Amino acid sequence: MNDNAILVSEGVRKIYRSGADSIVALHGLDLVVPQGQFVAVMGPSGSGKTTLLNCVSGLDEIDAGRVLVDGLSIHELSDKERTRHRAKEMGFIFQAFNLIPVFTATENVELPLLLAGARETDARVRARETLERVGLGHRLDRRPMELSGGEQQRVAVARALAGEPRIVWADEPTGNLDSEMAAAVIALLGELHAEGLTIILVTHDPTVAAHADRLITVRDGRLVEDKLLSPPLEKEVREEVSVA
Amino acid sequence: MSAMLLIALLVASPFLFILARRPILRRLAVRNAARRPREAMLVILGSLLGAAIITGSAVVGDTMDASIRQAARQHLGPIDELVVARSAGEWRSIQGRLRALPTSSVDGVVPLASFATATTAGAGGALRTVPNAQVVGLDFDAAHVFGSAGAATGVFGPTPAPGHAAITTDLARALELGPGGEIDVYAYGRPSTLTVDRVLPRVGLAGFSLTGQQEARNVLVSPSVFSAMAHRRPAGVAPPSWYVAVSNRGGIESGASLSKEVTRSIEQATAGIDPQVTDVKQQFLDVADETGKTFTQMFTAMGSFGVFAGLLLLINLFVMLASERKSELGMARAVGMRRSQLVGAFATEGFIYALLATLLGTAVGVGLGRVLVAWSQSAFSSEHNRFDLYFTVKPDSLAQSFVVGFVVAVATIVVMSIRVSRLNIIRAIRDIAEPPPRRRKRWLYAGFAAVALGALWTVSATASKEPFGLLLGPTLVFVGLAPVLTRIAPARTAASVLAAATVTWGALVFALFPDSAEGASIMMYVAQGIVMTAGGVAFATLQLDRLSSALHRFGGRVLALRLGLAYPLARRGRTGLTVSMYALVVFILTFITSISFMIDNQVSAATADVSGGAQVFVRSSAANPVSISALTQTPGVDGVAPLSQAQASFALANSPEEHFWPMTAYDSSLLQLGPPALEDRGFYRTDLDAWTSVLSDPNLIIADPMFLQQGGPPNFSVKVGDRMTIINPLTGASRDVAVAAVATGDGLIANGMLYGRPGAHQLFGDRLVPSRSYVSLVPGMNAETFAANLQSEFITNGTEAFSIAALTDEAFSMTHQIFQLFQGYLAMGLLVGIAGIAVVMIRAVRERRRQIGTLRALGFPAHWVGRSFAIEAAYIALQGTLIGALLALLTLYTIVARSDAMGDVTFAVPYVQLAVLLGGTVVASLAATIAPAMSATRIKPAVALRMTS
Repeated sequence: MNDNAILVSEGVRKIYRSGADSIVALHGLDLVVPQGQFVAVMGPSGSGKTTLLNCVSGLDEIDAGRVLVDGLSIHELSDKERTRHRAKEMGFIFQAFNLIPVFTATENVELPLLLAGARETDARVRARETLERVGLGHRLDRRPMELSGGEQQRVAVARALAGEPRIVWADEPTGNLDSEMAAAVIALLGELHAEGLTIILVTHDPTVAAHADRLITVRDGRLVEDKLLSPPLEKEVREEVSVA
Repeated sequence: MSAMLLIALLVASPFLFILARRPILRRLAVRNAARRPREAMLVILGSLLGAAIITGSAVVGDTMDASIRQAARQHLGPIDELVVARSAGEWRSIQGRLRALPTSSVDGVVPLASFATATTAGAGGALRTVPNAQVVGLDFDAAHVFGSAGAATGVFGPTPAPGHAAITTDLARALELGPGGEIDVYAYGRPSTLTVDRVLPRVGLAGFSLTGQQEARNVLVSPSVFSAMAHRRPAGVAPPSWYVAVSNRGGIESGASLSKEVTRSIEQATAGIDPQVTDVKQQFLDVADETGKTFTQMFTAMGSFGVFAGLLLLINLFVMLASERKSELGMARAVGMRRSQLVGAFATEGFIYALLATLLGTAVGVGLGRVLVAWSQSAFSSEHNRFDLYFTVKPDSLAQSFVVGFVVAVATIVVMSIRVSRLNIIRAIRDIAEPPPRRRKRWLYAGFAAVALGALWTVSATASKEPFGLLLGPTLVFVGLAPVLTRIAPARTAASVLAAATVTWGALVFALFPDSAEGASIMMYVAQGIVMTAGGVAFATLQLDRLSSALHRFGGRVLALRLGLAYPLARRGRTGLTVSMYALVVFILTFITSISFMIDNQVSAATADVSGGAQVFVRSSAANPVSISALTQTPGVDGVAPLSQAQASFALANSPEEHFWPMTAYDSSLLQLGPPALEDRGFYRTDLDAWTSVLSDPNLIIADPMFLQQGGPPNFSVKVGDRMTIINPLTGASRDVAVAAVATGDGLIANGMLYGRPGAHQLFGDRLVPSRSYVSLVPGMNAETFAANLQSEFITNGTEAFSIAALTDEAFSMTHQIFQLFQGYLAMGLLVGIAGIAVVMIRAVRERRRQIGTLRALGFPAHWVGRSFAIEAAYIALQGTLIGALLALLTLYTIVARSDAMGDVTFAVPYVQLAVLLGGTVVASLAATIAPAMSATRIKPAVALRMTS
């Protein structure tokens, strides 16, 4: 095992059951992600990308194998412990933004800070700083419905970052955005990665994946390719995707 | 009934057409309804209570109506008219004249006579006594052919021979006597021992009674035995009542329709004698109809709070359904569905819910009615007063309740469907928030129109002191001002001011116009409750931000609290609807609970008011009364005030209609003993001055506060200065009198109108027998012990003696039970609120599934999710109960403390009862939230996020 690994997944298997039917979504996934790496996960629809993210982040249960985050086997933790671990160590960004509609942008961003035990005044200051950093200093007290899609996703990014997590999970973060807004969000993630943040990002978009250090390709629940990328990468990624 | 069903069919026809002929819309409606069966069941359960409350109210009314009609069968049977003779001689003349009545309208004429008596049985063993029985003289052979149905007379067998009698089941039960037993009848100073031949049912002629009591304790003897007994009458006691009963052609009830015609014929046949002719059956039936309607209205009026709460729940559910299906509805429009089709599909789904809910609700309402009737029976059964209820459900009432519940539900659904269909397709598909509504000129015009209409109504109502106009006129002005003021001032401030003004006006209207509150109908208070609740909830909803920031300061760090409050504070419209449900129901419950408490508090004061200087009330048989001197000499007696009661007729000034009402005459001994307190002594300096004036002036009378009230809501209230004519119905002698004062309600003593003895004697002559008395006792004498002893001592006089305190207590206890009945009934409305919050929370869990998933992903512990739902439910329930309770207390304060509508009742707050009521409501609401909150805690983040993406 790599001493620098923040995430280790060994033989992770996930089966979806529906009545008598069952579908194996992950076939014994092995994956090691070093601290500070930006990993892009690609693959066709239904290949198991989101399942991979959900399982290795601890959002979903697994049927076999184990996942270590910072050496901690997260599926052996109780729901309560795993929830606390997520609040302190992880940030999440979703395709559908998933902001709490009845909270303002600031309240959404301070939520993980408060969950992690921060004082309310500290959480409020930190949330405002983070929103200013993502370019939303002028939208602090707006509710999600009053923001554009790009702005909502930037709030979601701010929410994921505010607690200074060790690892950020992003599931199609640009899927609902136009190219300009998507570029802004990806640039932001690039900046964060440059500061040493570990990012695991699921995407369909080669342009987005091109910003990663490493590209993992998943097909039918199996990791079919795992390679490191070096710039300029977009053409290479496109070729990889078309071959896959 | 067919008209009702036709209305239901007409209302249902568009939906039936859609179900039959529009497959796409049918599919949408039916599949959406069946999509989540458990939730559909909850919607139906939440909605059925409205129909249940309407049906329950109708069933109580039907039962009251039928029970009084049953009393008509029991006490009159085939008797439709009674001709009352002044003497035995006149009685015989009338019998001769009435043989010539036209047979096309009349199928029976029978003479009968009666006098009150005391009876005993079991001499030598355990003596059993019935002081308030009646001897009826009747020719059984004539009775058998009286009317078209012999069994309806209740009389069978030959006329009892001399020394023999038939008795009714009520008397037989009370004396534990059967055929062959001996009964002692005390009449006109002498006992007669009779052998019981047979026991007759309390039906028709056998059960003949005009006392208004449920039971008929009759001793039926032959006319010759009756005449022999009557012949012994000494001076100073009431003579027998001589009647000729007439039966009209037709059934027991249907025959009454000929009463006018037959009465005319009787009057023609008895011209020159001119006896009193009473259409007694029709009067019974009128009272039955009136009482039935009154009870239906009373229960419906109070239940209307629950019905409104049910409608708010329905609206809330449809708002939530529309919100949940917003993108589906947008897509339907996008692929070419017309707005009218969208309305059709949505409304047809609602029609399915409404139909099932109303059908079930009507059935549940019958059960509810059964419970209410059982409960009412105990309220109407005290030691000295009983009225048997016969549970009855009329198909017409059932149909009417179903149609009302169904039409109201469908109308609500159609309005909501039209509102839902007005969506922007793109915003709906993308689930983007709707922009603030545009300000339309038509609302401004509507506002001006409402202001003008409200102002006119107010001016007109101020002049006539009409309570509805006084309440609703200014309210309409405030509502109309809303679209005007919100254009020239900050909208929230303007709307808040108008909402506060509405509440303030609702609370103060009766304090500012106290006269208008007197005699106001119960619907007035319903309107007042609804107006104030609407204003209160609107004000609270508009000012929620301030509450929000206060709570955040208090508990911002507690994330479950923050989340629990965030949803209701962000969705004010929905929150307002749910809060209103609670506020409406709690308003009326607090109102009734507090009134009941305040009335209970009056027992001591009421006893003192009713007693005056007496502690014991005594009544005896008018045919054999206790002599006043004997009563005065009884050990323990300090003073006696004799009273004489007669059945009089009263006609209000400018009204030809006569109303039978008891009249009690008093003399100066009552003034020496200390007369009862007066509720309103008019212009007199003291109560004693008023009593003295009425005694000395036969043109004055003290009115019974219950005069012309049938036990329901007051629709007539007698006042000082009212003029009326007092009439002896037997002789026609009359005198115009003015109301000098209004007495305090004396409950079971039932003196009726109080009149000076000299004036009464001029009108009623020898029928004015001092058969009742107020008795004051020497210090240290226990009233109840004295009463029991006195009753034994003067048993042969049919003496009944009561401690006035115990009688007052009994009357209050009956009132208390009736209030408890109302409270139980109104608590049904709370079920609407509690079921409503459960449904709202279940739908909220579904609606917020993705958000819960996100929160869980971010590290929000599962139990915090559950806690936030509990906080949300508690917040809504607490807000609703507090608004309802505070507004009810405010309203009561203004009515009780600032107007005369509640007489001498003193304002008081039943803290313990209200704490139990309000605490119980919040706890029950929290209990109803347990299931949805638990299901929210079980949501797996990955599953929630996966399903929604």
